[in-house]
Amino acid sequence: MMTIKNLIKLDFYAMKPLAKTMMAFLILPIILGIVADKGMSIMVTLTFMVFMLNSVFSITEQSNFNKLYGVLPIKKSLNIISRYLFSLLVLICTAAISFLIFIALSIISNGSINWTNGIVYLTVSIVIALFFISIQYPLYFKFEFSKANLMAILPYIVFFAIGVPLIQYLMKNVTFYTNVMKVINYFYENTGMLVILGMLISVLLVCSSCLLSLKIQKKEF
Amino acid sequence: MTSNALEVRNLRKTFKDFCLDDISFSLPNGFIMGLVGKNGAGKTTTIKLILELLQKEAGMIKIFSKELHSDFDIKQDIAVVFDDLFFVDDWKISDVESALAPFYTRWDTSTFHGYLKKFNLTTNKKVKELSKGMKMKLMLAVALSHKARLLILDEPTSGIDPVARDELLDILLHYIEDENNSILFSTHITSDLDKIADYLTIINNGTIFYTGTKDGLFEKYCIVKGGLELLTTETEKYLLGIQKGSTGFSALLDIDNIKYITPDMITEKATIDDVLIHVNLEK
Amino acid sequence: MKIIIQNSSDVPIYQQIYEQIREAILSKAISEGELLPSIRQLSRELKVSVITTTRAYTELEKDGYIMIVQGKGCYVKSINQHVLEERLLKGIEEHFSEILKSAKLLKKSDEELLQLLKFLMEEINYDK
Repeated sequence: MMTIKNLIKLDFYAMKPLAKTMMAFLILPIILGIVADKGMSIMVTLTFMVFMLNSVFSITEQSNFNKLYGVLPIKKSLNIISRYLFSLLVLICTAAISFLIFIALSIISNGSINWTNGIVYLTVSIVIALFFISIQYPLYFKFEFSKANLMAILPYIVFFAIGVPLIQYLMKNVTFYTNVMKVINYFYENTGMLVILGMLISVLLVCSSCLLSLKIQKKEF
Repeated sequence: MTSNALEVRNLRKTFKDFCLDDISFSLPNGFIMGLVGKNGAGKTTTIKLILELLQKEAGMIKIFSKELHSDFDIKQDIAVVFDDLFFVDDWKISDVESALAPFYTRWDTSTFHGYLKKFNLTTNKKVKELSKGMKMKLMLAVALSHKARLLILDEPTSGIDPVARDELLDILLHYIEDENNSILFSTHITSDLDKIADYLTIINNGTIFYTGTKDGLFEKYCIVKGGLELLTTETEKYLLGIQKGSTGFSALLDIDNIKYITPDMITEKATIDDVLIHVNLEK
Repeated sequence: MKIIIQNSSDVPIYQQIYEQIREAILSKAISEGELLPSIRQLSRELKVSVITTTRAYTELEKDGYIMIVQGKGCYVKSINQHVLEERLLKGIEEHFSEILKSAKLLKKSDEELLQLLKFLMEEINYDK
């Protein structure tokens, strides 16, 4: 347990050079929240954080952490588990911060808070962020960063370049549209269900991704 | 007291274009062993296998009589200095300590700061601002601050000036003033080892050419020189890595075979470099 | 104690150490009972391997000049003056017989040899 804690701390240290960039980028969701949609700002913040987490892989690889992991008195698999835990921790903190921003912006501009809207966005954003991570991390543990980075962008491309137009196209179909709206409305009315479902999907994604990473961890450094 | 700090038996590892085969050597407690060979001979691969950074295919590695995969705590007793740094460039030296110290149960801050002072390293300096020699010293300071009993150095002196090399040798000799400490030192700069190594393991093309005491190497091999006319197919059989030039030849000779060479040939004491050069010619 | 290692010399390093310590003991530069640097301290100071200094010390011990006490250090042994003289004398005899052998090879007469010896003695005395 102590080792995992130390490894998570090590990842935070590795992230240190990114701290300035991260602070600067926190302004973006605030601006976005003011000019566009407040809910959207949560999603952007979390997606941005996923990018930052990717950079941690880049930093640790450039800094020969593979060798460091070989030198430190740790079991080989621990660095994978702790990287997942570290990422979860970072995302939880980011989610909390972005939700606070959401609340603050709501109070300032509307004087009231649309809790349902906020929770729906927060849940969906977390699920999407974890979805990205779950696909990317096994790639990072398997391949070199430069190689994996190209592949890791794939989920974004799939999501934004193909998924969004596809949904837009399908939305033109009336029956599909009404069905989707039914689902969305159901979740808007039963936010509890959404949160539970979101958590379930998240846990499932992260656990299977972590197990996969442990399995395919590059044996050769 | 004659137990081994490190014991390697019949180690094997194959890559697409390179093969390390039947590597065996042992480093007794309290001594310095030099791991020598030209670049690409398999020194770093051997060290990576010892640390389980690479998975061995066959063989056995024991560190303080224990196998690593069965007991990860042994790594508390091992310190490693690689030829490249494994710290983040943007870290300050103080970050290096904060990040790594918690992993070691016997980390000693005062020792670490003692070394920093000795090496003229200030804690607020960033890793990327350090010269190559300074980086090596920083790694050495980390390595020596958690009371490891086995110090493994992989090419620590390549690209480092003679003064820093000499300082390193002094630190290593100071380290083994404690009889419980041992050192495995890989290098292709043999002048470092000529002085301080007790044992030598010479790797050539992935196999062991010699392992034993340094003095033993010079008692076993000598250099033979002579005119080309002295070489016959019969004598060539007993010479290793014959290097022919227009003015004559030189080769390595196993002293057991000294009776097979003609008295006209000149023999002289070999150096580690001589052995490396001639062994490399022997295919 | 002064020890100077010549890396270029043909004499093995352990022997250089052996001879210089022995000389220091015989010339009373280090007195009996005195503590010598430990094997490992000496290798650090001379920048030579531990095996080399160990060998020098073991030879010194074998020849009765020093005493190695495990865990304590190496002491200069008290040397029986009589035995010492005898040993040194024997050394001189051995060297002389070597000289005589070489002289025979070169077919030098006894007189020539004596003259050479005299010449060398004068030179050494002159140095002093």
